[in-house]
Amino acid sequence: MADPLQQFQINPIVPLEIAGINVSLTNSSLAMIAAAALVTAFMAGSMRGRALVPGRWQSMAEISYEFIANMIRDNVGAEGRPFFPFVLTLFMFILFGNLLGLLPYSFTFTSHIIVTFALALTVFIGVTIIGIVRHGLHFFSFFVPKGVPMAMMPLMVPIEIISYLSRPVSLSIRLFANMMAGHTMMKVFGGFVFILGVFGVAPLIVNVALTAFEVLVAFLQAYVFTVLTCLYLNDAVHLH
Amino acid sequence: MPQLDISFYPPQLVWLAITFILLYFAMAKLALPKISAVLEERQDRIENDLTKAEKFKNEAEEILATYEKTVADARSEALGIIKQASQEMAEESTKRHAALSASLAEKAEAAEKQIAGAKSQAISNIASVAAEVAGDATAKLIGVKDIDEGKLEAALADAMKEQKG
Repeated sequence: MADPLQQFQINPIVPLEIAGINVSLTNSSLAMIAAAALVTAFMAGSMRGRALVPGRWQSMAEISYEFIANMIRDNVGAEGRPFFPFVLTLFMFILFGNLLGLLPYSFTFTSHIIVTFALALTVFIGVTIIGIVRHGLHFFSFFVPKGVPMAMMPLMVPIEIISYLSRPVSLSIRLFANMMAGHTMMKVFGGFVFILGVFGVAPLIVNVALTAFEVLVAFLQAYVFTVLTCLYLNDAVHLH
Repeated sequence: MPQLDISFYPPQLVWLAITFILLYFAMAKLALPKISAVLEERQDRIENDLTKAEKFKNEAEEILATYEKTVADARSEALGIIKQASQEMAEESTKRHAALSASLAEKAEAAEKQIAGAKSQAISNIASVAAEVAGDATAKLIGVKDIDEGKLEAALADAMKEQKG
């Protein structure tokens, strides 16, 4: 049985090194480029008609636009508008990364902790900077919960700080673990299909169901990542 | 676990940064302005159509109001004309009725007068005829001629009175 983790192996396609840093074009980079290109084709290409009555592709692009626009309006409010392109890029990039990973022989870059952690850290640092720029030193009142007796503060403030600092960790691990677990499961059941011979039909059926489930997870995890980003943005913009 | 192989972190981070930033600018500068322009245009178009529909509706209501007013005016005018006409007719009819009854009364009076004249003439005729007849009869019966006409007439008047009584 093939190693179920082999699918996460990174293979350099074009080895490159600039200023002593390995910047090789790998299967992972290829998947990222494909995701970015497809998102651009989807969002910009389907709007080429600029039809007043949209066709199928244009309708889907508009639905994606309004989905994220509503998400920001509901979770952040009017102040969230400047961050709309970023949040939309984040959502589409993760979503297409997840969905492309479901194609056979492709690579799921969202199943790599370094990628999800980099995205989560970008969100975390960005949100913290926005909070400090907007509220100055007042931003640190965010770590002082309201309506808590003074005696509890030595306990509550560290908890708040730890919970704030753990945001990028939970955000990145949630996406990474979901994608990795799902893909590993699919490979494990795929291995069973060959081992069990005729009875391999059973794991094959499970795999069909798992594939559908993974499509759901691909959407759900992209959504969760984006919604949490919006909530963090809301905290930074409005504090409590 | 290949995810923990640190040697492949730099290329992943570099390519993630490149692709993500490029995608961000593709979205922010290319795709999203297009989509928001189309959405706004559609929104404007819909609002425009709605205000136009509202305008047409108001116009139609105005026309309906004018039409109803015209109909009401015409009806009241017609009622006025009918009323006037019936009044005129009633006046005319009373006038004619009065004229007719006046002329009838006149005619009746004239006829009565005529009848009265005829009657009195007839009565006086009867008296003279009777006197003549009585004179002739007396002459034939008793052979008296040249009877005093005064006496004869008085006798006749007495006889007629007796007859009447």
